Amino acid sequence: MLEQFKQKYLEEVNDLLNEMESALLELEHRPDSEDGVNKIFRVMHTIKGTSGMYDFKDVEKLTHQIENVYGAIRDSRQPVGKNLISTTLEGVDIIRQMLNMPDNDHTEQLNRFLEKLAVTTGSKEPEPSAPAAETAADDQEGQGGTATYYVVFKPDANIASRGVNLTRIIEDLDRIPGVVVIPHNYPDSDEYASKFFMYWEAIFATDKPLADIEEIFLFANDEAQITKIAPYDLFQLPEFVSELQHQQQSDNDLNLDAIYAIARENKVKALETVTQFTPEPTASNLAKEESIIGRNIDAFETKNTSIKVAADKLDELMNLVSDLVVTKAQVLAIADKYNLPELDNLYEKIDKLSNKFKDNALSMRLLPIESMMLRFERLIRDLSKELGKQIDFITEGTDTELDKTIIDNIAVPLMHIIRNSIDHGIEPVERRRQLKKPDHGVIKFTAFYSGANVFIQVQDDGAGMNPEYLKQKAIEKGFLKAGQPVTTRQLYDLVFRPGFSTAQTITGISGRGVGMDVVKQHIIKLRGEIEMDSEVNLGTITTIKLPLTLSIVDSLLVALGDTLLLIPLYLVDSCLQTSINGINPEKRIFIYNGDPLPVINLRSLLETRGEQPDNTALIIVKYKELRICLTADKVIGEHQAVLKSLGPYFAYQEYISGASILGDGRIALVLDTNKLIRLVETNKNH
Amino acid sequence: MDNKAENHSYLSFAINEEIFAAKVHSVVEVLEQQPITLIPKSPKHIRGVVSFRGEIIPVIDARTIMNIPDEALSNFVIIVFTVKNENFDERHSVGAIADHVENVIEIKPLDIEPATDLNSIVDPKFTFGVFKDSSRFVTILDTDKIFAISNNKNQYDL
Repeated sequence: MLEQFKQKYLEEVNDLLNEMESALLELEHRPDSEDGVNKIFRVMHTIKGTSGMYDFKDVEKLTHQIENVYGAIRDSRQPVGKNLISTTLEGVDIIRQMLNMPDNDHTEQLNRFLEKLAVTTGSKEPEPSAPAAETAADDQEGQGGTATYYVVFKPDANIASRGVNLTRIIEDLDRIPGVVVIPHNYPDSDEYASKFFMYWEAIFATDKPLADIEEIFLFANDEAQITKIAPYDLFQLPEFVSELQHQQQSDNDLNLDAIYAIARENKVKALETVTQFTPEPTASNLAKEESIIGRNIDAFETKNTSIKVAADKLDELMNLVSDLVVTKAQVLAIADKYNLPELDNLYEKIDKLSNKFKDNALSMRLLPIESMMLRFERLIRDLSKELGKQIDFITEGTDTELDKTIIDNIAVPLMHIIRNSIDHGIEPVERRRQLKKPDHGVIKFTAFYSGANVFIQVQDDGAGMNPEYLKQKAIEKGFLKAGQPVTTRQLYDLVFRPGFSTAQTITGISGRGVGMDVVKQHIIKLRGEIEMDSEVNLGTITTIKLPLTLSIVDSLLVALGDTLLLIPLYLVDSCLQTSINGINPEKRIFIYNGDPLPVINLRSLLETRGEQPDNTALIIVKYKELRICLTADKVIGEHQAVLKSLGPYFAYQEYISGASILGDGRIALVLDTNKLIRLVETNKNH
Repeated sequence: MDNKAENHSYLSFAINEEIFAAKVHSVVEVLEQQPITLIPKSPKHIRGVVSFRGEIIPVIDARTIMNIPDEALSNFVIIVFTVKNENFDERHSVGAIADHVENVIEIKPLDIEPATDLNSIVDPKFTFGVFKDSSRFVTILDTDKIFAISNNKNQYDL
């Protein structure tokens, strides 16, 4: 049980650290942002609190110190220095390391960091100043910080089995001075089966920070929704108190619109009341308060639009959808077999519904590309600093969505591409000046939809790749013969070949980590494509094409003896029937529209039993400029394949990448076309 | 269900007319005879795949692994085991070919004799021991070991 909580804690801390990282990067541009400082303070405070509980003492110490520093900054309203931001970012990394490797001893690392932090903030003795800073911080929070909150807490039915003490939560809530807690029973309906039979609403005014309220729901925060309805004590208003009393008499949920109406009406009046307690009211303060009210009302109206769902629940949903698609096909098989027109009609309805269901479920797995941008921003910031380059990062279309699995697997190759742009693309300032380019280099990240694909482009305005230089290197390394005709496109594609290190070739700076060939492997695994284009001194653009999802693929179903094979439809150029004699047996070449195409006999490739039929089906597969002719016994038709893994027992499989269950229950195997393409590419180049 | 009782329950089944047993809680389901989809270029002990509860699971002929004769079968069942594998934390399902299933028997730990090359027809490393049931020997299989993926590798390399 504790492990489970710990997992949740780690996830939460990770989210918080991401939040903090983006706040820090924001602060770098606007060092006087109070919101930024507050956010960092709050994140550190929250992490400090929970880390103690899970015995991450080092994390607790570290966060405590950073919290103190930012508490002091907040109180003195000082802008945040660049050095401090760098040091804090380092701190974030150290916290991550401490959490990822809890068994290692981080004491030395911690002490070194604390020393550095003390130097950065100019205080040689961080410890004694710490308590003072903290008290100051708490005072600040306490002064005139009273706000009215509304909480609705709807626990899940399984709350007790998760080890959460429901009674404790309600008691804690009840203990808030002046709180109004309204318990409700759900109406008797299956709709609420997943919920605990009761839920609670609470409304109260407090000067405690939001984090304290959130702490009440520490292990049930998904089930509690906390809204700040006014940045002052609404209970001071007689209209509010009487409205609340009136509303409590009905069994209905609180009518928040009415409460907001009161809050809005009395906004000015209430602010006057507030200002009486505030020593120095300023116009900007008033304006700020007003905008907070406005924002909160808006926030409430648009809130509740998203919920957090565990990824495995979504995976399960996808499995169910897959099963539904299979079952649907079974219904069609029966309708066909017994020739039942009524069932046909019904099938069409089921088909439409299940397609919608499928699209819906797929869309739930989609995440905006935005979710990985933080890593890139951080990379560009750190690396450009290290290399002494000035780089602006421009993003476009980061709301484009991709399947979670793809997002998880595309970040590393993208990091590598971006790193290349910083390291080898963007020139040092002196060089840029010589070329009359602006001092600041630009890396532009663009994502957009096109059909069933998503395109991601990384563009830099750096040195670019010189095709002549590539050619020379290719000849040196034996990838090309001297005098062999070659297109610029083919030269750029060489970059993705193993052993062709462009890093040294182009800039003489040694490359880091994996090469572009590994990047390409990653992309191919995701059924994507990658291409590079470049112009000397203008820059390089890398384009990645990705499928929207990995789990359902429209495929061509072909037979090979008893074996059924699936070939992704997007790769199929055309199909035809011919006699096996039409293929040159020695050269294994088929002349198609005047072009000689390499032939792969699937029967011999997969060692299929039985005789090769004389009349064979040819499937022309197209991948970029490459066309391959595959031979199979016959083409059966199209199939919307729900991809299933064959599992670890078949890890040795060379040409089969998965399987799919057909409507009649038979299993068809998915041909690994990428392997075939690579096979042909290698043969061609040797 | 009482946990203790469950731990002593074994499913007995026949392969090549020899009686084997496996822990009941490792058995997920027994499937009727059905077509098995061949996977090209598979090692000999992997007969293919079947679909089971929406997933695709391998069907394994344990006879090849245990080195006992493996003539073609006219009648068989597929016992689906849940196996904890050496390379993964997760358990996964594996189908095993058997002649037929007998019944569930209770075996007290004290009645299990260690397997040796003399009393067991299979390599002792694949067993938990041998149980003498009135007139016959029942070999108790360690399903996690016998269906380990590493066996897969060895077979394929041969």
